[in-house]
Amino acid sequence: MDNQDEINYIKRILDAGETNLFSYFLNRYSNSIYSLILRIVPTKEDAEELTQDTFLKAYRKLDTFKGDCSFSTWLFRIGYNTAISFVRKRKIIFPVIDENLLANMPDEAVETIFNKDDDENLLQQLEVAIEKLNAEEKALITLYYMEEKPVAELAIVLELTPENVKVKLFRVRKKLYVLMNGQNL
Amino acid sequence: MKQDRALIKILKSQKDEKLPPDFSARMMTQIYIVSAARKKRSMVLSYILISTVSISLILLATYLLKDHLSFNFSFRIPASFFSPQSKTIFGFSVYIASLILLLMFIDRFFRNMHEKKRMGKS
Repeated sequence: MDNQDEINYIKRILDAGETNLFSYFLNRYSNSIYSLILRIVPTKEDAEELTQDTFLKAYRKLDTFKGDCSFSTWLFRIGYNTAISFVRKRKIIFPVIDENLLANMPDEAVETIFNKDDDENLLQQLEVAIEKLNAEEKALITLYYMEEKPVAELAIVLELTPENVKVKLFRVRKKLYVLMNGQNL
Repeated sequence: MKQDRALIKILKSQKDEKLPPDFSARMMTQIYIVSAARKKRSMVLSYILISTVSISLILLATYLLKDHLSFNFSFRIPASFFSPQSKTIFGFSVYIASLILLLMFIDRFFRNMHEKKRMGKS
């Protein structure tokens, strides 16, 4: 089913009151939204509750979906904002890394380490480093690497420019590298 | 960047985390509740809107007729002339209409009585 079909479904829900069609969106996107939120918030229970909130908000605001981006992007934006609000309320603190350190990091070193997918020790370190990223950075890499969203759609979800998204992606990789090496913590 | 195989491997491993199987069903129950509440709210709002507009129009019309157009509300029935022949036709029509109403009333009365008997037996 493409974006136009999804827009037709939304029209039928809004105009003809065919509420049951919303189950299609639930079945298709609930696990993806859950994965994104689970990356941002600490527990599975919170992630499940926030996924519920996301779909309820989406249903309530369905008439504001204009179709200028894909429905999944719109849904991810709601999910991301819901999770970010939760993190802000909980005042979860993330480590801050010196900008100069990131700027001076050689790209080649980062490139090499992130292409070793058979080193279990390294993968474990990477897992720990990802947990230390802030909410926006976690969302960024989850949507880019896991959901394989293009930069333009990431920009819509995170309310950034595409150039800004690219810069942030490079910075996150360097930050992960620094965190893995236990520097500047 | 999409070649960052280690990152992709770590992040995609989390895709195995799934919501409980009854999640969609539970969500749909909530969605139906929200939908019903929304329909009720919009119905109440439309009633309020229609009532407000109707009352406003009646008040405005009354105000205009009374204060600006000096309208006299005592209705005058124009003097009419009925010929004896038309009076007979009119009288006959009223008689037929009354008979129909009476028959409809009797029909309804007996239907109700029959229905009550049937309910009593069952």
